[in-house]
Amino acid sequence: MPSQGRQHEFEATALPFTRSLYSTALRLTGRAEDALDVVQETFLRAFRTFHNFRAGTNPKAWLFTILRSVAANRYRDDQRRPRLVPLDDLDQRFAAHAAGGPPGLELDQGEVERALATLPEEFRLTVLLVDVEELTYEEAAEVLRCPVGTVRSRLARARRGLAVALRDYAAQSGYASRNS
Amino acid sequence: MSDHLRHDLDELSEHLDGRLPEPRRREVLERLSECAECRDAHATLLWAKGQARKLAAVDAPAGLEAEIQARLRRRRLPALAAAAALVVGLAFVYSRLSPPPSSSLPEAVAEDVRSRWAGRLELALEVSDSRRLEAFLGEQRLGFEARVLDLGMMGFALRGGSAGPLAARPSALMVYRETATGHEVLCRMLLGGLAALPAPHETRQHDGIPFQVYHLGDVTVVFWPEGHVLCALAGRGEPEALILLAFAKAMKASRPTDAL
Repeated sequence: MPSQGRQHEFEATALPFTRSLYSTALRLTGRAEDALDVVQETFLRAFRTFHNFRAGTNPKAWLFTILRSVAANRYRDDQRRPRLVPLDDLDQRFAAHAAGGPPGLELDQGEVERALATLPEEFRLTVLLVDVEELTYEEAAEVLRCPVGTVRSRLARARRGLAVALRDYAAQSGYASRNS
Repeated sequence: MSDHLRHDLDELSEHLDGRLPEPRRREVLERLSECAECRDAHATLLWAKGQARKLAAVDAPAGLEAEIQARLRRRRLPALAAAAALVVGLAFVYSRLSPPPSSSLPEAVAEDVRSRWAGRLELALEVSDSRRLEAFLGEQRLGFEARVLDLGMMGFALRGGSAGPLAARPSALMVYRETATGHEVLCRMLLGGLAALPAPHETRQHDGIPFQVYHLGDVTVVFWPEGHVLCALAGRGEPEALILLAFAKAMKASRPTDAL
């Protein structure tokens, strides 16, 4: 049975990341209720396996590894996912969007959230881990259980997809006409 | 798109993160100075990354950390939990054999809210499907038909429910979680009427239905009658919001009866 001291050590290690975990869970599941379930299950699993946590490694990456596993198991077949941006002709569309450089506008957080939600989950999570949570490529590879090269290419593709989705969103919202 | 740009997009993205070793970094910089298409792509990727980095952490619902700590404690002390469960079980048996306890119904409902908040009150069935919970409650010999309120339009999702005595009366418990905040609201239903309640702190009237409101510390409990069933909503949030929630749901429940 884990001791009280062990619980305190776990709480000191893990609880500072509650906001980060909740934010990412919310951006993966799209629902506050599901995000709460995922985060709680993540902490319980992490506590059960705390003896495997290696001191000196990044606890945030370790917790995200567990969170990804919990979320994947729960929502693999979820039908409530938002409509995803098709990525088959992404390079052509990105080139068309990029011609002339980026738009001179800043979107608000809600608009960026909605654009991000249109990316397929593996791309969305890569952006969240590296650009939002500031994990290294190596830490993100550990979370995603894939080679670092896959993180590199997935992140590059995700950023192209996000750029396309953001510009599409800006155009639909009338930004393009206001800023052109 | 030129072939070399297609090949280089991954490298441009990696360049944004300052990860390229020196010879490759210099090559990328030279290419950017010579290729306008590459510069546009690089700037657009930088813009997309900047937009993503603006995403701030979302505040977790208040009480989440406390709930996690409580669940960890329960997991850490299974023997103590088992002992507690035995005490609860004995209390249940005792309550079925003995006269009603002195604690009032509003206090008992408020205690449910506090127990949920502290992670001490588990649900017999955790389910988001109201029909499944209604079927479960129908099997519990409550002596009345428990109607599972649908609070979805009000922003609350069903978490599950239980059946058990409340102040020695058979009772149904339903728990909802507000989607936006994570805060829980509890609904209790049991046989009886307003006469079973002590004097309220407030009385309200809405759509011909009497409501009795109790402010018990940080918990608000609102009772109203539906035929021979006494209903209650309780929670720790804004009292007026809870009262309005009761107004909305009681109206719907009472209309068929009113029409008779």
